[in-house]
Amino acid sequence: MVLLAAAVCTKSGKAIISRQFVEMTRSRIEGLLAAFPKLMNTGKQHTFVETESVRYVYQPLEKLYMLLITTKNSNILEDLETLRLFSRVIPEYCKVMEESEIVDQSFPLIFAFDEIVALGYRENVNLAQIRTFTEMDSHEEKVFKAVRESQEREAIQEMKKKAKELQAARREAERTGKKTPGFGGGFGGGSRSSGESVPVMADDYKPEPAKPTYTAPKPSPSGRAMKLGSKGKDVDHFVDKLVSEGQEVASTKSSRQSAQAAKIATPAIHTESVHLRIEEKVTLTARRDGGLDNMEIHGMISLRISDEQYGKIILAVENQEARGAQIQTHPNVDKKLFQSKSEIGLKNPNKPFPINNDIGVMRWRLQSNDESLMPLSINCWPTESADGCDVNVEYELEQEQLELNDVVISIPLPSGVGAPVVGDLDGEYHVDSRRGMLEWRLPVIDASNKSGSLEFSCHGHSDDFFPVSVSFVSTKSYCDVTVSGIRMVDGGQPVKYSSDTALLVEKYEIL
Amino acid sequence: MTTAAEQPCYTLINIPSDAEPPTELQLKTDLEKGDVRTKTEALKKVIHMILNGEKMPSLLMTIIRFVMPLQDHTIKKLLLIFWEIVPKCGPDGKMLHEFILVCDAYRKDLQHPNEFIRGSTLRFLCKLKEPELLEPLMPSIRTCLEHRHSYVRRNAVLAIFTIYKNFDSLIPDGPELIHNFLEQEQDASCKRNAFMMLIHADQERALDYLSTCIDQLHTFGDILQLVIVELVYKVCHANPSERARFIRCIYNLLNSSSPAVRYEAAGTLVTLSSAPTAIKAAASCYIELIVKESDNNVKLIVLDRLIALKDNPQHERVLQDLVMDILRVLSTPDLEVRKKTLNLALDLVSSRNVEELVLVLKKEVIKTNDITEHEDTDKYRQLLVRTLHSCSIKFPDMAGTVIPVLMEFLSDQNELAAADVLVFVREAIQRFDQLKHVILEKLLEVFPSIKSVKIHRAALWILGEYCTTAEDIQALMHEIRHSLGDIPIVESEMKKAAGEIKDEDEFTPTQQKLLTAEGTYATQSALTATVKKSSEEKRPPLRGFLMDGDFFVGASLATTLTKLAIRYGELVHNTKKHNSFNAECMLIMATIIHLGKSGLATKPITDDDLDRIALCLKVLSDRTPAVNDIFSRECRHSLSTMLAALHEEEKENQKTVIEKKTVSVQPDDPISFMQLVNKTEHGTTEDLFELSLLQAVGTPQKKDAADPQASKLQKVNQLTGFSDPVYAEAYVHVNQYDIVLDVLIVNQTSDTLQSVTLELATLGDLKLVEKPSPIILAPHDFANIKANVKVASTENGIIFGNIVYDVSGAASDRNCVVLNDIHIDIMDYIVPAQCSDNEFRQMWAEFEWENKVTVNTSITDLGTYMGHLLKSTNMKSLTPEKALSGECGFMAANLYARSIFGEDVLANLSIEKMIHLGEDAPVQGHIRIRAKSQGMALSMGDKVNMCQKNPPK
Repeated sequence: MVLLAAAVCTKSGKAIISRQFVEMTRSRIEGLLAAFPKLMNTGKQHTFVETESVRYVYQPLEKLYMLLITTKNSNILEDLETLRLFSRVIPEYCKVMEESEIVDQSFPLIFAFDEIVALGYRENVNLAQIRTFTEMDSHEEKVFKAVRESQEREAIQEMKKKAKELQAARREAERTGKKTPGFGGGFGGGSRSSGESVPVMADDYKPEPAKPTYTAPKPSPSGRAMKLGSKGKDVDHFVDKLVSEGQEVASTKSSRQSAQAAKIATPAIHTESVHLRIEEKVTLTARRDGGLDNMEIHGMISLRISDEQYGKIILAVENQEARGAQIQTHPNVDKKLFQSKSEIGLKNPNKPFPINNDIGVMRWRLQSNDESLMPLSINCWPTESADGCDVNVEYELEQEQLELNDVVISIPLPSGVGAPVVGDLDGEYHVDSRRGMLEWRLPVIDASNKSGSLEFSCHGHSDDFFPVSVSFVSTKSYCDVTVSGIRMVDGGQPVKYSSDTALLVEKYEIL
Repeated sequence: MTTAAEQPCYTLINIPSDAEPPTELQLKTDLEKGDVRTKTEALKKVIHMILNGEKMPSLLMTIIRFVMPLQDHTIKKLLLIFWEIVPKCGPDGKMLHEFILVCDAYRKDLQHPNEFIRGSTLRFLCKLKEPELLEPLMPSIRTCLEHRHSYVRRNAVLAIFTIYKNFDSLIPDGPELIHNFLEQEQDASCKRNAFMMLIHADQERALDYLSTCIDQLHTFGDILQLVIVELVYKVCHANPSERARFIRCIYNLLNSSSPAVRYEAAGTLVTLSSAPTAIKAAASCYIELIVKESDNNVKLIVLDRLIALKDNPQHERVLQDLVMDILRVLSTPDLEVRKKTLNLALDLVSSRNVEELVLVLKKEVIKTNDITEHEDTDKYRQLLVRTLHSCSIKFPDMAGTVIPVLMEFLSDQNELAAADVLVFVREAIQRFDQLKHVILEKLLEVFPSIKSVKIHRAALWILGEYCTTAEDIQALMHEIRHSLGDIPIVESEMKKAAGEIKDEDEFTPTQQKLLTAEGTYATQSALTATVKKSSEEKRPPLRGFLMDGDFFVGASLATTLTKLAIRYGELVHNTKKHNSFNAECMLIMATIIHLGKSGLATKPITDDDLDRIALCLKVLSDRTPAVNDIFSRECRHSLSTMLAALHEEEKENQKTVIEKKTVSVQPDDPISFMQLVNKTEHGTTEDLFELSLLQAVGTPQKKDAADPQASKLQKVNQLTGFSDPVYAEAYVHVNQYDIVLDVLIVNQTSDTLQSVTLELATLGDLKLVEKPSPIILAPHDFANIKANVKVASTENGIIFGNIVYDVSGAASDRNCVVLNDIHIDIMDYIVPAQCSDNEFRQMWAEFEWENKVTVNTSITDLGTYMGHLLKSTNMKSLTPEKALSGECGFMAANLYARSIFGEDVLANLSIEKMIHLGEDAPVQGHIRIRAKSQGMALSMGDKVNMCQKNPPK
């Protein structure tokens, strides 16, 4: 909708005031307004007129008309809504609906009109808001003024105090007959203090000091996506029908969301009142010609206790990691107990663990550049030929104890050369033309199918297909750190617990 | 050089001009010395004066020094308006230096602790077009994006939007900034404005954002949903391949809680896909809106959208399935809406849905009976009858069920519907032979209860024409007798008047006796009057009409009787019966004449009616076969030719409509491949939003620019002589509501001319928008001055004026060159228009000004003359082409046109060619022009006279 102008007219159609919201020349708007009385129809039950170029929508107000001029494509429902608001604004400012009153109140009316429409689009405001906006009664301004006043007052008092002190000092000096060391001191001091206390000119605002700037809360990730209620089904039905009629309809699932979802999605597990989560994150950068730049695995055991009676417990950790992972426990954890028995308990055995909170009790870090430690090695080999590039990609599971789920190997494609021709492959692939990616998807990689390959050809240069990135999730941890049991501190009887383990990818790139 | 009239204008205030305008000096002291109140008032006055075209350069500095530093909120806002309208450039086109000071004030306001001052300053910046002023403000504007109050933020977004639009170099990262802002933002208004900016500035980003939140659309506010729909429309417009992505989203919006969004989404869905399901979804959404919204404006406009949908042949079929839903709209009380709906329904009727449609319409008709009488009910019923009529003609099977229902309305008080029913019945009885019997029976049944004269007359005609069997004729005769009451009428009336009801057998009183009788009874007038009144009520209908002096019905009764008698003679070969029938008919006619002459009726019979009845009498007594033939056959024949002609016309109309609909693609037309067309060529359907905005704002479209230069040169008027010291010529450019004079002034002397002023004055309904400012012309230099003239109505306007100048160094007075007059041609404002005959007659009766122009031409052919007239006056002939074709020595036609200001002008042309004056005799006659205003009538008359003088070559 585009609202061109809002005007108040007399019964005969003469415009008293008019405010335009889009750029238009004076002669044009005057012409449009002059044409209105001749077009205006009386005795009909509708209140709009259309000409070749514009639409007039109006509403009678006693002896006046509230008139809106809109484009012909404008949304009439929206316009009527706006018109209603406009005509409710007028009585707010004018006691009687007469020409003279409108002229008297022309400026407040124009100010109010401005609040309703912005660049031809309706603002979401109501009458009370318009009032507030036009009254301009700002709390912040008052605070600002008060602060300044008190500052000024303080400065004056300070000045007086200083002056008194100086006077006293001078008197003292005179009394003792000594000359003050810096003879101009009194004078200088006075001038300094007066310089400080000169009242700032009212219009001389300094840029506001560190305002509490607005930081909006992050929009929550779409917690409730399309509900699969009746409405959703209705939409699907509609879409199906359209498709059957030959209309293309794309699905709403954008790849970005699916990637996000994959990151978060770890299978939900039934949780006991003591729940352990072992989570590892892999950051890995490898070279295309083999060689591992860096691999870092961060692991963490977090504990969540939802029942008070299990507050005081001890975890028995089984660490069979032989690849040099560095283990660290939480400062509150009894180190000696851990080193001696490989058990985790609080330093103060009488204190329980906090309830209903994820508490990280132990973490480890494994850093390496030994290729053989990579969880999954990728070999991407582009061969440039006369008409483009043949690319062979191969993966191999290096750590056979792992089982990787939802593996996506994304290979960038040069832009503007069209879709690649994919030859043999294990698993499935998908071309995301918007991001320019070839995504090779493998639901599961484990010891039984530890390697696979993909072949495709595409125009481009061999450098175009890097960096290849990989994402996956796994429910087995990389480092062999597990919790073998949990027992109560006092008594020592075992505690039932649940645990889940996840291996996630933070960054896995082959440059 | 741009004049103020070409600058964008945001505010108009019409002040009654009776108040004395304050002097500049007084304003100055007020602004300088007054208290806040006086200053406010003075500032308001300054704004008023600037709006009225005054330029007050000296006040600018005063305002900057004494008003700008004030902290009063009202003053601050008034100042913003003042900055909006005050000229910011000097005569050299450069910005005034004073504005550097103002710019600093803007900056401070942008950092003001009061959020509303910040906000309104930001809004004002949207209207600022000077990059020099905006540049230093950019950092402050950016920080406003992070302000705590949404009011500031949303205006900041708007400011960035317009600044980016106008000068993208000032904020090259605008879209990115706003995109980031949008992702953080929670307030609906801010979001909307930010999104709007992305739509216009960087669609890619807008799409990016949309794809992140496409699933939450239904949780957004309506204003945001609206711009999202706009985005989808725009994207799909520029990039049809993207359409598939958004269908689901748009469909979701069809279920939005806001009707405005639903409306917009439906419109967009139609452009996205032409699959039947999509069209159906959109159309149902429209229908739902029409039914649910109570506002008539909405109903009408949305109906227009539906009609537009229907006009696409692909979509028509889908809509046909929805006819029953469309009919739900009929529950609206507004006649206009109902009319549109019925027309739409009628266009959509097909053999599949006609039965249901007719059923609903019948129900509606019956419903109108129960409703308490309202002025519109009658018209509505008439509309329904007409619709049913057209339906039955299209699908003859329906006629049988429709007619009995409609016939009930003949006895109605309301003439409108009844007349239409009869028109329908007439056509039906002529067309559908099988229905004839039913119709006649029904008609005879309701005949006695008909209350209106006109209906009675028409019913009589139909009955007279179609009663072809002896039984029918007898039945009709019986009805007529019944309806007339005792004959002779005069006798029985006299008796009633006298209050003495005598026996039937005494019915041969003499004329003489009657007269005396009347003379004697005249004395008892008081008594007769009362008796008459009561008897009036008892009178059978036909007699009632006759007593009221409506003898036209008598005349038509006579014709009917004649037809019946003739036909009866052919059917029944018993001469006795035949003769007695004839005699009865003749008796009825005679008694009508008698009544007409007697003076008993309120009005005596007119000569025309008398002639007619007498003729019928003569026909019956003579019984010549030739005349019989005319009565019994030719009438029917002329009816059928009339119906055929109507039918043909309709067919012709339909054909043109169909031709319009079917897109004709020639076999050798080039095929455009979507992939091969570059973006600018996508002009298959232009972006409607942009287009309508451009149209509304009055920006000339590019297409017009293609006009050859030659036509522009034709409109150049020479204003002075070639040997005048100053030569001037003007190019007159006529826009819709204003005239731009582009005047070229050439200094032909070798002196420098100072303060050369173009002084213009106008005659007629023209108004000079602003005075052109004086210029200085070097020796043999030239300059262009533009002047705007506003036009308020169609009238032959004249612009006249002069050029005054000083010669530098000369001590003499100002010199003056008088300019030639510029005549503004009204033809630029007159466009042919169409109106119905009824409207024409009504306007003809209403309009007060008539201008009668005698035809005075050398043209010898009637058709040529008329063609010439139409062409040179832009009028349209309302008389159909058929009626004008052929050569008969005379011609009459109605012409109609309308000005773009909405004034109507009518003309009646009646011309003849005197055959006896020979082949080369010129056309003679009159043209009568009628209009509401004198100016229009006179101007049009002048125009006609002018065009007569210049015959076509």
